[in-house]
Amino acid sequence: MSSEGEQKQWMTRYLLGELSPEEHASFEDRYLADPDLFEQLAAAEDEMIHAYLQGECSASEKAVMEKRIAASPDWRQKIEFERTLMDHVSSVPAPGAVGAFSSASATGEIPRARRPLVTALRLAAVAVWLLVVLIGGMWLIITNLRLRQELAQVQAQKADLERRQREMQQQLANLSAKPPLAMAPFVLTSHLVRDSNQQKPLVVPPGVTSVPLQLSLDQGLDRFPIYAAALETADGTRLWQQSNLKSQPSANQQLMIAIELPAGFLKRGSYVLKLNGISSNHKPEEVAVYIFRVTRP
Amino acid sequence: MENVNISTGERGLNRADFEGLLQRLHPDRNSAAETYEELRRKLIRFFRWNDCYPGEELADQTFDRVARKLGNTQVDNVPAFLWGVARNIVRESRKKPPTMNLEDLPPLHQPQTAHAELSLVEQKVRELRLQCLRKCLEQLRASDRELFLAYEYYEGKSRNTRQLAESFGITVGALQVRAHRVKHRMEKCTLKRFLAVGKSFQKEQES
Repeated sequence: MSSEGEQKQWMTRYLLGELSPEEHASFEDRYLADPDLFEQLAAAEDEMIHAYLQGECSASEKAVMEKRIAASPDWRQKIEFERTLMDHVSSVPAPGAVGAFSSASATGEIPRARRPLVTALRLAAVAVWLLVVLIGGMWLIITNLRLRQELAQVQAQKADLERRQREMQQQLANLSAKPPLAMAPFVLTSHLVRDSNQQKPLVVPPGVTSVPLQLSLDQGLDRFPIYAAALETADGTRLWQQSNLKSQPSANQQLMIAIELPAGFLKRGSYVLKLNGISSNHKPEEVAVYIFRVTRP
Repeated sequence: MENVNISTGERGLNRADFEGLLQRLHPDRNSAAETYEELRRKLIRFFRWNDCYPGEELADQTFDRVARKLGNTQVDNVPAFLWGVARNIVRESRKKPPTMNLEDLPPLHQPQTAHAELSLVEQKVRELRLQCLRKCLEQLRASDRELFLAYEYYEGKSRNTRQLAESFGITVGALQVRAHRVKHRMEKCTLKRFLAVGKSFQKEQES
């Protein structure tokens, strides 16, 4: 694996899953120990995706890519991002091109003997420019009129599509108008005070539209008149929030705050629910963090 | 040092274990957070290369296991140990039967719209994604944006990548690391914005 070409071949075979299990493991050993090789492999993967998106990859590469895309939302997300990035990169000027041409234009003074000729050429250039502007203006007016007609047609089509969409949504609503399933409240314990015992996963059955949660509140934290809760994904994306929540004692005198989360927000994965106490001067203070995992049967 | 914001999937992981992991990655909390994010980015790629999904969840699972082990096992080289755990997760994941949520099904298996409508929708979605990416790029530091876009423009042209690295006064390896870090951030940012727009559109439709 000495030459650059040979290394590139290894990377391609690794990414296409063509290495034997022994070769696969050995190549992984190498790139996990060599950060530069890891980044080269990442670059090779991006290159492969570019080639796929531009229809420039081989049939075997295309087959592997399509299999992966069909198998995983991770890959579809990656492909969509690369496509967007390519759209953007192709719409901006090449890096460095502006500087390269602008420096070439400043080439010094024009010789005195050539000045009348230059003046005549400039006048001719202005005349040509005016002519171009005139023709261009007429073309713009004609195009504008044509575009207006097309716009009216598109708007009519859009209105028709919207009407059909509304009808389909209504049909769908009629079909799915079943009473929503209810589920028993799920008790969450604060992550800040919990010992190493794990929170049980929250199982959201199919058909449930809202998930009732009971947030257990420790003694001493009930000094706030109201509370606010916010649901975030593990990477910090805020999904939902609610304020004006009040604590209430449960049957066993444990203080609880009851909330209802829309089930649509809860996919499989980990979530963080943050609870802030709001003091009488409206100042929020974090009182509890609940970390839990959602599974869907 | 309390201002460091680390995105973590510490499911069932107590704070002490997680802080212990950060401490073992680097004594300075900011540097530890950077190392953590860097390793997470690499883990996601690693799981994708091994056809193990969802990459983000498995990366978090790797950190969780390592953090718990650090409390009761002598570990000299944390990154090497982490990669060992990641490879174990790959092995375990290959033994499990593949599962798929309904929402994870590829578009091919979802109800199809009429062709003309679909292409119109696809076109709009593509434009929307592009707008989201452009907003994210605007938030970048000018130097990062310049490096990233130049790298993306020349990607796949190794001679130009070398010249580009020279023009920035860094090695090809350093250029790739910086460009891939920015790319990872842009991918997350674009997706976040795109989903937010989708949600507000959904609300608009419902109201």
